[in-house]
Amino acid sequence: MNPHNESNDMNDGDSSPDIPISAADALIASTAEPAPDGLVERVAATAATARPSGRVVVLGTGAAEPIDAFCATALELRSLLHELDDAEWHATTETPYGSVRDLVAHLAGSEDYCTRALSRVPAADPVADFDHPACSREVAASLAALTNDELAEAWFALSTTFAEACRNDPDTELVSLHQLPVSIGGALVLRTFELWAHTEDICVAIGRPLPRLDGPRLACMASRLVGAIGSLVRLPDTPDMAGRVVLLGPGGGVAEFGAPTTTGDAPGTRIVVDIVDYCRVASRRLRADDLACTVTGDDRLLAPFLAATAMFAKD
Amino acid sequence: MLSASMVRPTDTGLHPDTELLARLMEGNPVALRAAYACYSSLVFGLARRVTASATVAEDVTQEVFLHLWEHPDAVDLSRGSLRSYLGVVTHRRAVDAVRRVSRSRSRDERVSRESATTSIGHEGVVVERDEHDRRTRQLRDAIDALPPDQRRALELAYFGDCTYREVATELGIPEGTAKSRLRLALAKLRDLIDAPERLAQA
Repeated sequence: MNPHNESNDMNDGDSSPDIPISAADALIASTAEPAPDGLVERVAATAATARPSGRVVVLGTGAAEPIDAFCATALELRSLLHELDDAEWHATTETPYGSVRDLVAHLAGSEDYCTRALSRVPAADPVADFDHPACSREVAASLAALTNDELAEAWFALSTTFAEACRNDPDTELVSLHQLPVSIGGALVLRTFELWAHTEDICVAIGRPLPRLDGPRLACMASRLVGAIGSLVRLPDTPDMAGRVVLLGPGGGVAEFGAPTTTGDAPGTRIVVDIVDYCRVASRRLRADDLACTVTGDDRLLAPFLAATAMFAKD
Repeated sequence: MLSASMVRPTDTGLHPDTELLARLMEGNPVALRAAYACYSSLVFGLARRVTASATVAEDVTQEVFLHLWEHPDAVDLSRGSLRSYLGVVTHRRAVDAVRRVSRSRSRDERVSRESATTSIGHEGVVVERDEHDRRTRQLRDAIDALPPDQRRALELAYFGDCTYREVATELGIPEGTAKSRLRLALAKLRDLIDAPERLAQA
């Protein structure tokens, strides 16, 4: 409910008044009264049965499958694109690609590059294979004559082709994306990150609210990311240090990184951060230096952790 | 460099509930007790007001804190405070409890409350933390300043989850009068909500 929603159907006696949240909060504040003695012990006992002390909410619990995360994100972008007017299609984005049109054309080329990568055929242009913006140029140029809606559909068709190609390969199969070996699931997650990041770029360019990813998709993206980088985060002079990240919000959870720990060991570093902000660092839409987080323990592990987090983002 | 704790706030700042939720994520029972100490009065008081039963309110309170313990990842601090979240969950569960009791007592005696098109939902709404306490106080004052008949109608609508028609029945007044009272009450409150600059001067 929008707190400023003025809609109030006064003609229907069976409807309920639309009470703003602030007023509801004020009403609630007037009702506070101490809970009965002993209730806290019942709550604690029931809680201990439901989830034993020390059992963390594991990051990735309830995560969407990578293929589903990718397809849902593509559908949302397609829906957004079909809402845009001509001026919005030509709005300038804060990306290397230029306008919204240019960005969508890049996405089309990017989908095509990834689909070709799944075929395991070596890239014809080794430079483009290293360079993410370059990998899409040829396809993007070939779409220049399309109308806005045709361009949206051309990109979406290529994304569907990519998704179908992924369905035909087991998640554990490795493919090379920009010379980086990743699993099929990993490739889908990378594509999901890119679609999400560019959807945000478009929304920023045209002044719309940023889209909200649901918890299962965030859980999929964040858990795959931390799983991929976790073992890479080491300090040269303290290679046995372990870290823990607590990602807050829907899709959030707890994950370990750095050196493996044995049960009961406290991690040397503990980072607490919002899961969406963390994913924005991964897509380089938020600078690591600007990230709001709390660090407990040895803070030297923070910088390599965040650097590793952003290592997959290409633009 | 070893440090006990380092905080890196941004422009938006870190939410005060952040550490509490992080510890709940890690399965720390002390955090559950801390959350209970902070918010049990709010939860129990609201549940008791809605259900009009201390016994049912205890059950609702237990449900709410058990839900928080099992699903701390459901709390989205970018959308509102933990306090607001618990208020929403408590209200919803208390209304559900009232409906369960009502259904089991007299399923056929009256039109089911389920026919109400919606409960007074207020999920997903952000209350800016910084202004929250001040605004709540001001709105509370505004609610207190309402004429008694308007205030009673508003409280019935929120705590009783009543429709316009039910408010009219409860107060023994025509439906049109109930609508007028609620419209006037909400208009006064919305004036405050929609004009923060005026709130600051209030």
